Amino acid sequence: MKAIHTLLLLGACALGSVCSCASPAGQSGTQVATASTLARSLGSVKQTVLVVKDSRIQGDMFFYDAAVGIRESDVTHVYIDCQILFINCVFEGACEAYFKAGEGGKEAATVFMRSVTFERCNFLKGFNMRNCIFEDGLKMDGSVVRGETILENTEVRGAATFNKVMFDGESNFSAAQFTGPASFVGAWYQGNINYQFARFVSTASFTDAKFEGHLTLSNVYASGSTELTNARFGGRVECVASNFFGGMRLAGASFSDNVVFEQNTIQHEFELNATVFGRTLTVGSNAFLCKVNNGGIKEGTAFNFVRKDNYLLPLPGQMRTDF
Amino acid sequence: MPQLRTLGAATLGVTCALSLTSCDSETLAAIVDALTGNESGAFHTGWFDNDEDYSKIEDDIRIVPSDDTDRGGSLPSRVSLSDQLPPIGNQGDYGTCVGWAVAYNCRSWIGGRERGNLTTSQFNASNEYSPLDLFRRLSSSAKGAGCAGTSFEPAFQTLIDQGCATLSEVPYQKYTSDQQDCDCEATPYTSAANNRIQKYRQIDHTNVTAIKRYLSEGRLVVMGAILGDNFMQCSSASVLQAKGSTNLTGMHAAHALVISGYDDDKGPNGAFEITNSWDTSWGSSGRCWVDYRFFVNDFCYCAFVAYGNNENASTLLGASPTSSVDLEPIEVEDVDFFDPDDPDSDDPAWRELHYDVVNNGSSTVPASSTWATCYCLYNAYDANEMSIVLVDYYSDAFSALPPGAYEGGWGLDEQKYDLPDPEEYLGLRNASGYACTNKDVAPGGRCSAGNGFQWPYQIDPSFNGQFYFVLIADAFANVQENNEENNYFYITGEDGGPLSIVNGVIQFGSNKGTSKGKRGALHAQPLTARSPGHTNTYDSGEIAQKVRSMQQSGELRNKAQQWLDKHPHAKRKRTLAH
Repeated sequence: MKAIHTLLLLGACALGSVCSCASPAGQSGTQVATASTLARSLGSVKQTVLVVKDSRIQGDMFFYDAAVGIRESDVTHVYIDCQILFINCVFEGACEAYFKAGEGGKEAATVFMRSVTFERCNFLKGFNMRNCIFEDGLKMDGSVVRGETILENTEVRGAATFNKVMFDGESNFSAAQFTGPASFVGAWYQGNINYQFARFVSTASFTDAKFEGHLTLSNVYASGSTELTNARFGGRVECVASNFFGGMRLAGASFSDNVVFEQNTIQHEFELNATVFGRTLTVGSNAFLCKVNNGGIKEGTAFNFVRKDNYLLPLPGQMRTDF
Repeated sequence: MPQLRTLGAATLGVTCALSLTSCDSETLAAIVDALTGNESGAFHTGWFDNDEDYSKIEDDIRIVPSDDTDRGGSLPSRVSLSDQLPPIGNQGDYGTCVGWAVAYNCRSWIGGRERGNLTTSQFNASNEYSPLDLFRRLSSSAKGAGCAGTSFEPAFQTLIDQGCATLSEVPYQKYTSDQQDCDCEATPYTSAANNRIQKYRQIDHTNVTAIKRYLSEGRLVVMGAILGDNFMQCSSASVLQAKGSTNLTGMHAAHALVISGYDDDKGPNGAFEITNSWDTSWGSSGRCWVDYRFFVNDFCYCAFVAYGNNENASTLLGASPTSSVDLEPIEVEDVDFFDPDDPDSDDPAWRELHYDVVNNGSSTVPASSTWATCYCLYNAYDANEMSIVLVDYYSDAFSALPPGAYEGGWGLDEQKYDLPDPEEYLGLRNASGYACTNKDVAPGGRCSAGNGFQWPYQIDPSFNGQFYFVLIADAFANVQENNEENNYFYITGEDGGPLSIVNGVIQFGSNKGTSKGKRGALHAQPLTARSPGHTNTYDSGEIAQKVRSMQQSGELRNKAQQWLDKHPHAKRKRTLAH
C-alpha cells in the first residue's frame, strides 16, 4: 500500500510541479518505494512519465521486468516507453537493465525509449546497463555508484551526462556508444576504468575527472574533441590503437603512474600544456595529424620518456624534437 | 600487427596531410579499419560448444600449493610459451579452429618438446601437425560439413586413438572458394599412429592461478571461448577486458584457442596471452592479451592440457632400478557380500574385497618400512573425488600382539589397546577398515598366511556416478621397489569401463537387485584401467599423485574418519580366507 501511495504521489509531482531537490546524493530518502512495483509500473501503457524523488528504493530494480520482451535474434529486448526521473533516491538493491541466465544463457536487455535521469542518486549495489539502449539520453549527474558500473556495449543516443558521478567500484564502458555529447566532467573513478572500444560520436569531456584505478582508453573511436583538461590519473593509463579525430586536450592533467600511448591516430590539436607525467611515458607509432602543443610538459621526478617512432604531420614549430 | 599498424598510420598520415581539410573522421576510420583488417565477418570460428559433455572428460588431478595466488605466490610474474609454438596459423575460410588449437598448436608443441624443445623458427611442415587430417579422422557426426566445426572431446580422443599426420603429409589448403580443397571427408593419411598423444585432461577454466601454474610448468593450455566484437578487433598491446558488442560475431561465436602465456603486469588485473589461428594480421601478430578477470567471467568456457606419449606416467611412481623388492597385489576380486548385521537381508550395498600382496623381489620387505595397502574408489572423470575404502598397514612400531589376535596382525578393534596414533605414520587415523600387521614379507612371500584376505566393506551412499576401484600396494611409497607400476590393480565394469554407482550401490545392468550371490564379481585387471573405448582414463601415476597428496595434506585422514563415523559396523577385523 505504501508503494502505491508513493507512486501516486510521484505521479502528481510529475504532472503538477518541478521537483526541487537540493540535498546531497541519496541523503533524504524520506519515502519508500518498492523496486518491483516501480518496474511493473514502467510497463503500463498509461505511464508516460515516472518521477521518483527523495525516496529509498527497496529491493532489486530490474528494468527488464517492466514488460514482456521481444525476442530479437539471440537477445530479448524489453522496451520501456516512459520518461524516467529518479532524483535524490537511494537504490538499496541492484539496479539493472540487463540479464543473462548463466554461461551461454539467454540474455535480456532494456531499450529506454525516452530520457532517463538518475540525478544525485545513490546506488548501493551497482549499476548494470549492459547492452541497453537509451534512445533519448541518460543523465546521472551527482550520483554515487557503490559496486560495479557496467555500461558495456550500452548505446546512449542523445546527451549522456555523468558529471560529478562517483564510481566507487570498477567502471566498464567497453564498447559503449555515445551518439550525443558525453560528459564526465568532475567524475571520480575509484576503481579500474575501461573505455576500450568505446565510441564517442560527439564530444567526450573528462575535464577535472579523477581516475584512481587503471584506465584503459584503447581502441577508442572519438569523432569530436576529447577533453581531459586538468584530469588526474592515479593509476596506469593504456591508450593504444585509438582514434581521436577531434583532438585531445590534456592541459593541466597529471599522470602519477605509467602511461602507454601507442598506435593512436590524432587529428586536430594534441595539447599537453602543463601536463605532468610522474613516471614512464611510452609513446610510439602514433599518427599525429595535427598541431602537437606540448611546450609546457612537466616531468615528475621518476619520469622516463620512452620514445618510439611517431608520425608527426604537419610539424609545428613549437614541438619537442624528441617527441 | 605492429608492422601493419605502423604502415597504416604512416600511410594514413601521408594521405591526410595532402588533403587534411577533406579527410573527415569517417573516412579516416574507414581507412584505419581497412588497413588494420577490422572488416566485419573476416574471421571464422568453429568450436561446437554445445556438443561438449564436460562430465565425460577426465579432470586433471589438482594438487594446488597453499601459497598459490592469482598474483605472486610461488609463480613467476610472467611466462610465455609462444616461442615454443609453430608460427601463427591461419584457418582461413573454414571452421577448423579446434583442429588448429589441438593438432597444429598443441600437438606440434608436444612434438617440439619431444624433439628437444623446438623454437618457432625450427618448426616446419614436417614437424607441424595437420588440422585438416585431424578433421578427416573425425566421424561425420562429430563435425559439420565442409569443416564447419567440431568439439574438443572427439578431437583430443582422435589424437589419442589414431594420432594425426603432419602438415607435409596433409597440407592445409586455405584461401580457396573450392570446398574440395579442404575436403573434410577425404580419407585420412594412413600412417599417423606414431603421432598419438597419451591423454588430455580438463582443467578448471575459472581458476586463474591453476592455469598460470600449468603455464609456469611449461604446459600449453587449450581453451574454448565465446567471442565478442572486441576480440575480433583486438590489437597489439591493448589488453582485452570485455566482450563488447556482438554485432559482428553473433551471440554464440564459439572459438578454439590456446593460452600461451600470462603476465601479471598487463592491464589492470594481469592478462593471459592467447594464440589464435587467424594469421598474423589479427591481434598482435596473431596473439592478444585477455584480462584475468574478463577471462574467467565472460571469455573462457573450458580449458584442457594434453600429454605426449614420451611423458612417462610411471616416472611419477618413483621406481628404483637398484631395489631388490617388488610388491604386487594378486588374487584381487571384488564380490557381492551379505550384510554382516543381517545376513538374510540381501543388502546390495555390502561387498567384499579379496586380495593378497606378494613380494616378487629377492629381499625381504620388513615391517619396519611401515608401508600400507589401500583400496580406493575414485570418480572415473574426476579422480579428485576419491575415497579410501580400506587401509592395510604393516609396521613393527607396536608392542606385542594382543591375545587372540590373528596370526600376522590385528584389526581396528584391538588398535585401542596399544597402538600409538597411526597419524604419525600414515597421516591416518582410521579408514573404513583398518588393520595393522607386524609382519615382514619374505622374497616370494605373501602378506597373508597364504590364502589371501577377505574384507567386507560398504560404499558410502552419497556416491553417485561413474567410478573405478584400485588396490594399491605400498600406496604411500614407503618401500623403494624396482617396479612400481605393478602395485596397481584396478576393478572395472565388465566392459572394462567405469562402474555405475547409484546411492552407494554398484549397478549390474540386468542383474541389478537380484538376490545375494547373483550379482557376481567385477572385472579385475592389473596395471591400468585403460581399455578399448576408455583410453583416456587415469593412469597409475595420476592415482599415486592423488593418494599421496591426500595423505600429505591430511585429506585422507579426514575422509577416512568421516567414512568410518558413518559406518561403525565397518570396524571389523579383516579375515583370512578359508
